[in-house]
Amino acid sequence: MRNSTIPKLAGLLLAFMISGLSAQSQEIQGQVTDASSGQPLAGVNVFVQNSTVGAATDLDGMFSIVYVATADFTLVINFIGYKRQTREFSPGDNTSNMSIALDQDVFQGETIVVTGLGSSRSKAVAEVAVARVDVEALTAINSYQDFSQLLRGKTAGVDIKKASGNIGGGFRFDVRSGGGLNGNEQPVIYIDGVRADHSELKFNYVGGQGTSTLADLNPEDIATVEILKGPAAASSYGTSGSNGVILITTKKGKMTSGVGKNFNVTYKQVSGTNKQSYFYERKDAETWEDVNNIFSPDGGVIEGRNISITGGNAAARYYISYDRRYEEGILKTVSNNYMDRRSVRANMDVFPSAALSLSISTGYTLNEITRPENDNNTFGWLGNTLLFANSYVFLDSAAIAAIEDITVSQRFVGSIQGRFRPFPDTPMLSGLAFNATFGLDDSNVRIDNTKSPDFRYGSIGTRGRRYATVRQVQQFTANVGASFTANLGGIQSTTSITSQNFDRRYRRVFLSKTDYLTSLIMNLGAGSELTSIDEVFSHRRESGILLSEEISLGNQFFATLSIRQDFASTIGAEAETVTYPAARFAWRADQLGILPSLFNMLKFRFAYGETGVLPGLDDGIPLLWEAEEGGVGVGGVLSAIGNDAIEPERVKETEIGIDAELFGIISIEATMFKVNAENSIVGRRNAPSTGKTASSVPFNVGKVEGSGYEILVQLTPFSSPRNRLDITATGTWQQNKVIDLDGAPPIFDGFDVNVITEGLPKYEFYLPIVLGAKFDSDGRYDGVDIKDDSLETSGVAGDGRYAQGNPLPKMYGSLSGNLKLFGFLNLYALLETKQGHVINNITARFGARFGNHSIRNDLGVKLGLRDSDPDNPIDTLAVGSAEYIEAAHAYARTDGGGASKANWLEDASYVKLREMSASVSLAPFLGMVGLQKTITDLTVVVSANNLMTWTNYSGPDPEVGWNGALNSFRGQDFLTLQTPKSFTITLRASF
Amino acid sequence: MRKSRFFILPFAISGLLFLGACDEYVQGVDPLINVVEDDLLDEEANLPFLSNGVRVRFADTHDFLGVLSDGLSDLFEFDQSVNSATFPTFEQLDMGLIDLDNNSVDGGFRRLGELRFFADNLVERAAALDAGAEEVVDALFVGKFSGAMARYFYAANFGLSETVGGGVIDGGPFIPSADLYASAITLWTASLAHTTDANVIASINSLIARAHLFNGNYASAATAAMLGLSDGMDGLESEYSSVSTNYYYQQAGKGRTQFVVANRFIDYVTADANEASRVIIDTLRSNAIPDSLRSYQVKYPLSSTPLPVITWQENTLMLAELALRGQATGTPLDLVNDVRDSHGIADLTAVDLDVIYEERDKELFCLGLRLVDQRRFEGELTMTTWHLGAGTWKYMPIPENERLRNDNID
Repeated sequence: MRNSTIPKLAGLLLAFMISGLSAQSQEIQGQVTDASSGQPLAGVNVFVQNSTVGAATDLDGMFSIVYVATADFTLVINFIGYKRQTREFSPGDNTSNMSIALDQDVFQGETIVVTGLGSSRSKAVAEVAVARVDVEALTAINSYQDFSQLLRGKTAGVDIKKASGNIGGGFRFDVRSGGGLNGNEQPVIYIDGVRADHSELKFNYVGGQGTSTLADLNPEDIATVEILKGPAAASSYGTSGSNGVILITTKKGKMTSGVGKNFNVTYKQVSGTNKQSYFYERKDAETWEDVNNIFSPDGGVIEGRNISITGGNAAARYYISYDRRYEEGILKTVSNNYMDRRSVRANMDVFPSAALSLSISTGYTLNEITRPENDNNTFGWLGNTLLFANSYVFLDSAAIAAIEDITVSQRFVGSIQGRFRPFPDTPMLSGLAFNATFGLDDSNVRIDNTKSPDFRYGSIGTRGRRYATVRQVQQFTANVGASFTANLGGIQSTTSITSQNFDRRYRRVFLSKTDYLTSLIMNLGAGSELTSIDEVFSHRRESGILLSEEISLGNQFFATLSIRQDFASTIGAEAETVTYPAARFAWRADQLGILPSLFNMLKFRFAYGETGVLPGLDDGIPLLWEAEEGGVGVGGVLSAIGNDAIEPERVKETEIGIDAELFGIISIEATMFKVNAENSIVGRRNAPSTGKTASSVPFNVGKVEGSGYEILVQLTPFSSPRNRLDITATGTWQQNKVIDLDGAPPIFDGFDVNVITEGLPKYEFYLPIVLGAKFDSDGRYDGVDIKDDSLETSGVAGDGRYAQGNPLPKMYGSLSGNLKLFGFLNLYALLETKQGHVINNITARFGARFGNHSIRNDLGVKLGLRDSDPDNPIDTLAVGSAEYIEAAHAYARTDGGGASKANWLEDASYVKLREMSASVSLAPFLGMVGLQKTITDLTVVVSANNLMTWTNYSGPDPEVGWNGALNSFRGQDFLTLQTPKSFTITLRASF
Repeated sequence: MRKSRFFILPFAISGLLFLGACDEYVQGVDPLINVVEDDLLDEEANLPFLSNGVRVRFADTHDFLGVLSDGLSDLFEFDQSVNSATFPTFEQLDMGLIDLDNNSVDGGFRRLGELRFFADNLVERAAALDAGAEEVVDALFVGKFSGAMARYFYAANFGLSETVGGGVIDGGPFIPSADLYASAITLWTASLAHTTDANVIASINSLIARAHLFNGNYASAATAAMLGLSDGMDGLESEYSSVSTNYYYQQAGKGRTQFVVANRFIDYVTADANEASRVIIDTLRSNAIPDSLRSYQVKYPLSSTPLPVITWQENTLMLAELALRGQATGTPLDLVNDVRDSHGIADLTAVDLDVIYEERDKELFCLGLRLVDQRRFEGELTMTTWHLGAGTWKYMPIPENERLRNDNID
């Protein structure tokens, strides 16, 4: 591998770049150690500031670089988890045999975090709470299927929820208290500076589930994820940033460890299995054995292979990887239950001179995902085994197994980011810098769903059907900016202007045909009857100008003031531009020097910012017509009713926080936030008799308030290069309330369960209350007693409904521990909890309706309403007895009728043992066989995900939702596939 | 700081220059391809597009309301022992215990609202254009005819309370069924001015007769029916396709059998095999008793099978009934037997209102008309016509969505 072409080319490039340098050189050489233990540190970056010269330490902590010094220079020693050090030298100074001891940095204050568009600060002085996830460290000790699995339980203020256990299934982020009312409450996601398509593909109804476009993202390629959690931090990103911004940075090339080494090759092999995590019992359904039989007893296979090459030096670095992840779900039928993802990445950072740096990021993914039909679906496995007391009433099991649903996604995400300082050596102008990012997210998705004429499928009969759709999305991002940094005494000022532009084109074509004569030929041409065909296209642009001023007063006071002017194609005629101000401040109180020594760091911060959510693309157009096909051909029907006065929703956030590092072993980040959304767009439905009901009509009348707290505590009781314990706890408490809808009637999801209405939290379960059973004059069960709201004298009552819990947890958090022992053993575990939320068990409700709810069936026998099963005889209770009355109330509470929906609301609080791993590094032993110079890392990792769940929820999984992730159906489990538990063993070797 | 201030100015100037560019940039997007703004359709050339839209929504409303109406009547039954019968909203209809937020009823009411608006909007647009243009004539006919049908559908199917029929137009006050029937008749009559097709004219007269009959105006009904469809004439149909499917096929037939037919239809066919030519049913397995069977309609065997709007057989049965009521000429027995003959069914020997009621049950199988018959024959026959208990809905309720958003409705 050392003779491979790529490193040679990189070397030639480097030689070319540095060919202009020729003068007397000096060697800078030494060893870097951990200050507390004195043990050597490997992989430490040592480089000359504002130069292209640097290296990384080897396993013995040694480094050696050659530098041509023409003036005084600064040597920087930087390593994650340790405080950065600098040393000043003059030409000719002795720079040999240096001993450098680094202090650990529990708060990780030296880490540079992005604090806004075009701005970054070290975490120690950042004025906002930025969640930063070191993904590279996580993927070293665990194996993740996708981006959602990677982030769950890792950050305060950001909750991640998967819609189902489907491989590649959709997921949503719930950031803090959920912003305002509009949009889908999702953060904007950037991958290496490119705004990424974050959508759920739900075409061709297969029960409600969709696949996430972010399933294309290979976790192995990600280095870090930073999350700006609300308008206070994300204001500089402008409209659509009201639910924060997620910044994904892929891996970059690294200076290789050790003297004289050009590159590292890392190979990673993953093997494992996905297993059924919940086993059904009779309490779930009479057909519980049939349900368990749909799952593979051996589980689904997980296989992953990844090879990456990284190398370079201070002038040019590269990272190249190839990854293939094949993963099967837990259903027996593998053919509609797997993901096969192949991805290639080539990243390069080039530093031609101290004035110019370029980062090139390219990633291509080919991802094939097959979906089983589940959820609210008569063609699904769960719908055919959980609803009725006899299984497969809708479809034969062979027919279900024969359904093919394949999503093939091809996606390229690439960017070029550059920074140019034209006058690095001119005192007056050295602070002038220009930066630019140009990038593209280009995805092409094809979905095929095939039902064979060999089987009978509901309305399709035995005619067979094939559906195909092609979805193309191109998103261009172009940011151009300039900044000037000036220092005067202890004051540093950075003034910047950035233009951010975004262009999105969306195209989709779909068609379906039926009447296939043979299953042997199922292309679209072989079907004789067209059942649907259409195309959709939309094009929108957003543009914004950000003017910001960052000020640092000494090491104590830090402030950023910014204002952003936004433009967007989607904004209505009377709101062509929107202005978003932001201001934030930080004070390092520890720099006063008067605090007790226990405070290594104490920072107070305050931030305020505004963003918004754009109206829909056609919301500003009063009346739109579209073509609809009927039996007489195509004709014009209403498509949408808009409002030409519509404006974006405005979301304002205030954030106050304290960051502290205590005793050198504890760090605390605590934040209180308050969100006010106004001008929220509320869709008012016209009365149906007007005929203008193709859509709701948007008005800027809504107001929402949210608030909460979040905390991150990290404890490192002991630390040395060989032994270290890190304990991390996160906690988030949030609440929100709809303040005003201008008197609009409650807005419900399609099942009339989740509501948006004044005075209640968003998506509250809003239903009639079931009091218990009613009895006739003889004392016999006489139906369900529903609370009569006409007797109420207070509250929201009046429509017979009451607030009965919310699908969003009031509190969520995590506790993780990472123990490193003897320099080669690493143990890791992550517990995650969500508390105070409710799930609607529609699966059980419909089971009760259709006689498959064993508890209700038994109660029915006790009440004399149902014949006893001869194999399971149950005595009928005496009418009027205490047992009878108790059974009657229980029977009423298992009623599945429309008025009794509240019977099926359950506490969904849970604690999950989300991740666990043990890894053994064999690197320390390689020296015994003389391979330590050849094989730099050889690690075996055994890991598990979703291992245990403790919950009161009676269904299989308390965190699923039947209708995908990004809509108003929230916290509803309707025949939804459980999240599997997975076990993997990983072998990682670096050369 | 002085340096910094020095640079703020050029940065601010740059910002102002950028602003103009931003404005232009976001305006430069390609138009949507699948929608058109309302005022661009105010041309004669675009009327056929809108006229066809009204036809599409008419067919879409006709079958949907037909299934729901037959579901509330004693024609269809919601039997959970039959595979595929899962919609709770259909169960409510079958039981006559209908929540105001019943999604199916809401869907039907919404479709009907669109049909009424599309039709009236078309008439309004066409009336402002050259009255002689072919497109305008067709638009005026389609708009008035469909507007009449919309008002008729309200009158026949919806109600403010369990026993008070009527509907709402454009967010206005509740309009009783009688007034809606009258409005429908006015519009149907007006539509006659825009067509010369004899079958269509006769069909409209038959529809006018039906509206009068349902409204209890037997003399007017007889007058119109005499001008209506006669033996062998083609009536009108709602058309469907594999893309826009017949809802009877889709939810109460071969597509998915949420509703089965009442067992008396099996009895009809068992008693006289020739009845199978108009009571077209097939059997399917029920899970209630092992190997037991229920029947479902296959009158609409394909997703594209058209749904009759009016037939000459219905007009003839109306004449028979009206003759029995002493309002029309003709022999009721002959008229009934004419209809039976058209299906190869043996003649009856006597006829009274009970017979008319049963003949209509068979002849108007799965046309969405049974519900009205159950209501209007109540108390006139030897049998009880309403099949559900007291307090049940005899109309589909004007849904909660209308009541919440229409200040004119209590």
